[in-house]
Amino acid sequence: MKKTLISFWFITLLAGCTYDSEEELYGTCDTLNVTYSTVRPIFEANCISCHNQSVNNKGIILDTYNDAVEAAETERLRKAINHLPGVTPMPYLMDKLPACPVLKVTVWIDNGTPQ
Amino acid sequence: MTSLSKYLLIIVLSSLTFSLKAQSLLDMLEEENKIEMDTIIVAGTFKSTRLINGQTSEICGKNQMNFIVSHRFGDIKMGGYEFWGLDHSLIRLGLEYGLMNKLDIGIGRSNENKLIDGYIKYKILSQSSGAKKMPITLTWYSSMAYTDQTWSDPNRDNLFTSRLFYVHQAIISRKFSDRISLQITPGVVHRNLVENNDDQNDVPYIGFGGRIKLTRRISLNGEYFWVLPGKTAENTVNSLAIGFDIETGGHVFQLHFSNSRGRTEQGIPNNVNDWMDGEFGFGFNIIRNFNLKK
Amino acid sequence: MNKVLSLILLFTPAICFGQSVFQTNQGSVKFTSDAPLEMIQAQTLKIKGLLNTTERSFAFLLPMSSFEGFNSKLQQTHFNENYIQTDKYPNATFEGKIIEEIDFSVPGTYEVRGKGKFQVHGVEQVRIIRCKLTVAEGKITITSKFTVLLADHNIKIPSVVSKKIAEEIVVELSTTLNIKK
Repeated sequence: MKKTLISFWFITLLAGCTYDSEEELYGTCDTLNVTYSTVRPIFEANCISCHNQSVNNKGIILDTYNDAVEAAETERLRKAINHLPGVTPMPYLMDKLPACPVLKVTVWIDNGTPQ
Repeated sequence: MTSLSKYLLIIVLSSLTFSLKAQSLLDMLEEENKIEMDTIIVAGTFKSTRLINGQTSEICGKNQMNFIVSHRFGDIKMGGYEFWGLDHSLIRLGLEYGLMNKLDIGIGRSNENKLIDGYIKYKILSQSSGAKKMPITLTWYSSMAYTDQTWSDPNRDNLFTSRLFYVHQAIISRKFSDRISLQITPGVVHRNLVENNDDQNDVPYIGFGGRIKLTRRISLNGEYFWVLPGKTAENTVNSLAIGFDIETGGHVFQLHFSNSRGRTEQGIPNNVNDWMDGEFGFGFNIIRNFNLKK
Repeated sequence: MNKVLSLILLFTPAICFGQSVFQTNQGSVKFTSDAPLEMIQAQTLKIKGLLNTTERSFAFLLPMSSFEGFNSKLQQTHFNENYIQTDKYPNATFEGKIIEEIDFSVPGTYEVRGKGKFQVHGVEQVRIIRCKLTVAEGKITITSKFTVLLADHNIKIPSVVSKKIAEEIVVELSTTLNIKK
């Protein structure tokens, strides 16, 4: 019984153990021509469940272009996803998003939030 | 021999024998007891299986189950509007069960990173005194965690394995006295996916913890996780937690302050909260013991 | 020289000469706590005892951490850590004299009382405990049933578990002593 348990544990231990890095899997981050269409999927995956027109947490709405631009202009969007002081870090109760999505959104804001 | 010395000899000898007889029966028993010792396995090194955020060397025991609620509020630095962090809660609900006398299995889910973790804990050595002496308790802990978070970038080819985290640690503890127990937990957190090629997938750390019993039921606990020097250590703040254990029969309540990220060891490499910046919060754990033996 | 030697020899075995000591290294000790919300029982076989039949004096020693049973392992840990504090007070002891004068050379069953100092949790109380002695050839069997008041020995029950632990604990003892060689 004990031996079965130990071997079972050993197998699950090794199962799914990899040594990957984003750089290796996905290459460097592409921040050329970042528009709202580029960043919307990022918002959809991580933000829109709470920051949409119906739920509207803290007045930040990201599911339409105009609202997203407004959010960008308050500087709170940039600070939240970069986990800078002064605002609650976002996504809420999660680790900071990986560097690439954060960079894409930051670049989009810096470039004047093109549509 | 002269008459005088003969009498002296008789007096000395008789007082010797009479004093031998005067050794009480209880003294004799106590002396015997000291020689024929049994092995006494040290129990109650810590009040429960959790120190504060991390594990202790204790395990449930066969057919015992623990229900664990680990709750942390937000950071104090959030200020008055957020009621100094009390408006936000980070929580993990967990169950652990003693499959065999020395083997626990457990499962839990944290709302931080939507992390589901499962683990096994095995007591390899038990501290004992008496006939067979063992200076430490050694418990092994292995866990695997899965994050249910949606992918940050759904457009790329995301691998299932990238959702997995592992923790392996050896928990070495010693009950120095009725009041003081200390432990050291060297371990490693393994992340399947890291950002850059030069980031560490394996993050080694050493945990230091201990408790001082203040009364029979209340102890002061402390815990510190030191990430070993490397690329991760440069961007990580070590987790420090201090709290009280209050044991009331079947429950242990743990009230503490901590800066740690995550309610399990998986969070050690991700911690960027600094005590000095007010990035620590109040939390409490409740561990309720259930006896499933009939 | 011979005279001195014989004098020495005369005095040396004084301790065993005419003294009859019986001993035991095992026996059954069981305690029961019968409270409104919970019944707790535990037992041990590790009692040690000595009985000097010439002087009618006795001593018993019981390692408290040897009790097994309980309703859970946690309860056993709490028994040792919070209530009896076996780290500090490892043994319960009872030392004293039998009040009644018995002729231990006559086999039979005798109801006697042992009076002496009963200690548990570091607190001593003078007690008279009734027991039944069965004397046979070369061995003596003792059985007894008595109560221990926790308050007498500074064993505190917190109010939160007051309905789960009895104030009075019933103890049952049974052991057989043989001649000490």
